[in-house]
Amino acid sequence: MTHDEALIQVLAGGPGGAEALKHVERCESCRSELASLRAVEELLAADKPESSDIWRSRARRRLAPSRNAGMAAWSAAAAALAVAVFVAAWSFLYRPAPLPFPAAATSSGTQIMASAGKMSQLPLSPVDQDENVQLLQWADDMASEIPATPPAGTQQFLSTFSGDNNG
Amino acid sequence: MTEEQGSWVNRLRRREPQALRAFVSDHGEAVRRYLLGIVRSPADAEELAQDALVRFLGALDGFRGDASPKTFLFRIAHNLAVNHVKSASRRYETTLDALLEIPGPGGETHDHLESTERSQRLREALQHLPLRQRTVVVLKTWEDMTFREISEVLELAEGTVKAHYFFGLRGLRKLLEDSRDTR
Repeated sequence: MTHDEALIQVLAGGPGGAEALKHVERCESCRSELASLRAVEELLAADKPESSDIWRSRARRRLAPSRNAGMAAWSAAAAALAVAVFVAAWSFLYRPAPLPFPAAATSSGTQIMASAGKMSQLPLSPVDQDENVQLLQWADDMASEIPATPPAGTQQFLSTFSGDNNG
Repeated sequence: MTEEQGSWVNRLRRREPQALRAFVSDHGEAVRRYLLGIVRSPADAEELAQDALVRFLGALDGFRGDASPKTFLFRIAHNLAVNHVKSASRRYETTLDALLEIPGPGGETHDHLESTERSQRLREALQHLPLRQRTVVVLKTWEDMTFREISEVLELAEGTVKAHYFFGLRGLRKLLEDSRDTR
């Protein structure tokens, strides 16, 4: 066994290790050589490069092409859906609507209040929508509290304004 | 390939985000570190490491599990490193990058300077080792790979790898002594 063979066996392990170890223990130059090589190993181990977190995030982004493609597909689908919803809402809000109040709405208080109860079905300007939501909620509440038949005397009271009572 | 490794590979084949994150955390850094020892420039090492990871994922469908996934990944990284080092133009860029990326002395303590200088000398010496010796030394000391694993990465006999390791360490020692003498 040569000096180098013995050193390789001791340094890296393998069959014949015991014989190599004996050789190195007896050989001063081999012992010195082994110590210096161990020192180089230690130097290298101490110089192990540190991790790079920035690189990790970059690598992850690059490693997920299918995920990016999926995201792009979802974004396109979401955009298409938003456009469809907008168009549908626009068509609904600005469709030609019949007048909410009946032509002869003044005939009785019940009819007027019933019409007020239907205000929630009125088309809304998107700009006023927030305010109108509150008003319509109020109108719906009022309509639900109004009795189906007017209280006694209501018809007579209303007729004083309609010109039926001339004298 | 073990059953656990097989399951891990299958999750990567399906590009499961969690598996990809774990893959980069567990192996990406090791590949980058190995490549840093071979090509020296951090920018080149990062680029090559990303290439290696992407190629590894791309090659997974054809991976039959003859070797461990880790060995397979490092084999890809090693082939990329060899191509990189062999390219004369890239070598020039590497040297230039390395020069530009050496940190300046401003505001550093004496200890830090000494440590930085020692580290620079060591990495400079590494670059002067023959490629195979450099590869074996880096995989062994920085990645704690066994000689068997390294032999699978390089597709060399285990005994040959051990010899490369021994002569690599000896070469490094000589290079460090020479650089100390010339200071």
